[in-house]
Amino acid sequence: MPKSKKDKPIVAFNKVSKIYDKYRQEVVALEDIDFSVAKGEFVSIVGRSGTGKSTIIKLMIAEEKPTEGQVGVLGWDLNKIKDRQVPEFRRQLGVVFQDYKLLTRKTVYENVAYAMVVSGQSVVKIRKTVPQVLDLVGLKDKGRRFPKELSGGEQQRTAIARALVHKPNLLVADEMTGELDALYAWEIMEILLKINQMGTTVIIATHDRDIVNKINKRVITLEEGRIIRDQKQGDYLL
Amino acid sequence: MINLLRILKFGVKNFFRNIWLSTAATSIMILTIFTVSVLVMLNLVGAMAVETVKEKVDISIYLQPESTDNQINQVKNKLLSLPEVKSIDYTSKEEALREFQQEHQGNDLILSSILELDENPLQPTLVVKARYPEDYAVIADTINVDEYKSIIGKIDFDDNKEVINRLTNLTQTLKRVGVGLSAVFGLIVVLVVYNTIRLTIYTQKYEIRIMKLVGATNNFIRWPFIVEGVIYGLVGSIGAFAIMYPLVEYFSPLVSNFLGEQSIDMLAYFNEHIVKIFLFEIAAGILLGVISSLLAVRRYVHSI
Ligand SMILES: Nc1ncnc2c1ncn2[C@@H]1O[C@H](COP(=O)(O)OP(=O)(O)OP(=O)(O)O)[C@@H](O)[C@H]1O
Ligand SMILES: [Mg+2]
Repeated sequence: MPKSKKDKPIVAFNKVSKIYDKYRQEVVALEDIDFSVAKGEFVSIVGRSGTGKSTIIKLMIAEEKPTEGQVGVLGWDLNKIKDRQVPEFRRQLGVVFQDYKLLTRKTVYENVAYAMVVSGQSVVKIRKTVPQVLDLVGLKDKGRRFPKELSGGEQQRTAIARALVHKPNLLVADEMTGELDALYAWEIMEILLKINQMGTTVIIATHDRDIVNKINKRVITLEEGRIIRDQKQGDYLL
Repeated sequence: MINLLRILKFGVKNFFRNIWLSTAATSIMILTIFTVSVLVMLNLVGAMAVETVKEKVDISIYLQPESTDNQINQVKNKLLSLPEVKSIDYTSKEEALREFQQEHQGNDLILSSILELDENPLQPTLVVKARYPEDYAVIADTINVDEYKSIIGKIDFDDNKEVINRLTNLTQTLKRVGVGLSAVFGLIVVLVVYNTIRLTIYTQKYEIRIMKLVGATNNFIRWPFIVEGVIYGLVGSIGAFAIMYPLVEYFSPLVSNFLGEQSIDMLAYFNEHIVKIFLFEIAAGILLGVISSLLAVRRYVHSI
């Protein structure tokens, strides 16, 4: 499988449109989206509700296919990716969502290990990797807790840890701080910045004005399915 | 290897996740495999019984003691000319007497009483074997004509014909009922297991979504459900076997009595083929389980 080369973008959207078919009514979610993300970047995608942020994320993780245009991620042509190739692709990136998507009946450790278990990794490798990533997100001592015994921020950090077990080159997060208090949200952000500094490209979709302004990284602003602004060191302007 | 173990573990978990539903699916599986096996078994026993009795069937034609060799040969040749006749065994008066003496060796009373008569009272007999039991009527009709009236005393064949007819009808009915019932039960079990697995898939929607997001291989997502189907089949077939054995034990003498044939021993047959029967049940169970789960997985896992 083609791995991304240094000079090639990690993510490339080329004239992408996405039209949803809902009850035979067409919803134009994205129109003519053009952007690329280079290795090592930290990108925030911002915009009002319903402007297509999540749709961009879904296209990026091959959960949806574009109606028009090309989407390339980590060297994969997502227009042409086959169903049976998706698992391999997904193991090369990490995904985090607003609702954490943790398994309530598994401990923190088990939740993180789960991603490795179901992709057929060896027990030895699991035992080595899981503590590492738990340490990275500051949950080293909480591996035995269940999700309901954790704060929202800790649950989200568990989800990040899980997203990191495959040592991805790209971490994608949709609204990951949406349900958190400002303080917890900033903790999460610091973890993402740390991961970014270690070389992982990070792309987040967010509403969080304060955070976007604080980190002073690249900002892509959407309005009604179009990119209206793409700033190298931008802020949340809406 | 580790993956195989994990998939098995996931499958077993699926089975126990909704224990009532699994119990229901397993019960239907037991019932189906049990029914099918009993029907197959009965068919085999029926066929066996027919064969046994067929072998024994023959027409004994008792000829008048005073018939001449010429007359006897005439009857014999007539019978031999029939394509339905497989063989004819002729026992002359003298042979009959010798057999009689041999049979009653040691019983002086009988032996001396027969010797006291000045003439051999025994009848020469023709024992005719037909190719097929259905042919006995033709054979009987051929000799039951005026031409031979004077030399033929008695024709013996009716009893067995009755048994054969009864058995043949029974086996044929059994076969038809068996195929029909098996098909119906098979369909029911596939539907039940299919829906059970569909439900497992739905209750696990969330987990499956997470699996897909973290890059679980398709095998990891699909095979546990197929394992679940196999478990229904396995437990179902073992259960069916477990209830079948005592039942065969109980009914075997009854069947023998009903057929009036002690040589037809269901239990002995069952014991003789126990491994085959067990494997047949397991194979049937697994097949049904796999078919149902494959259908459910193909239809529902993809859309999650
Ligand atoms: N599966 C779907 N079927 C039909 N329409 C959809 C679907 N998903 C999203 N949409 C529509 O597409 C548009 C963009 O949705 P999207 O979820 O990408 O917005 P968003 O920017 O993430 O919003 P939010 O900030 O509320 O999460 C919306 O109008 C939404 O109703
Ligand atoms: Mg969204």
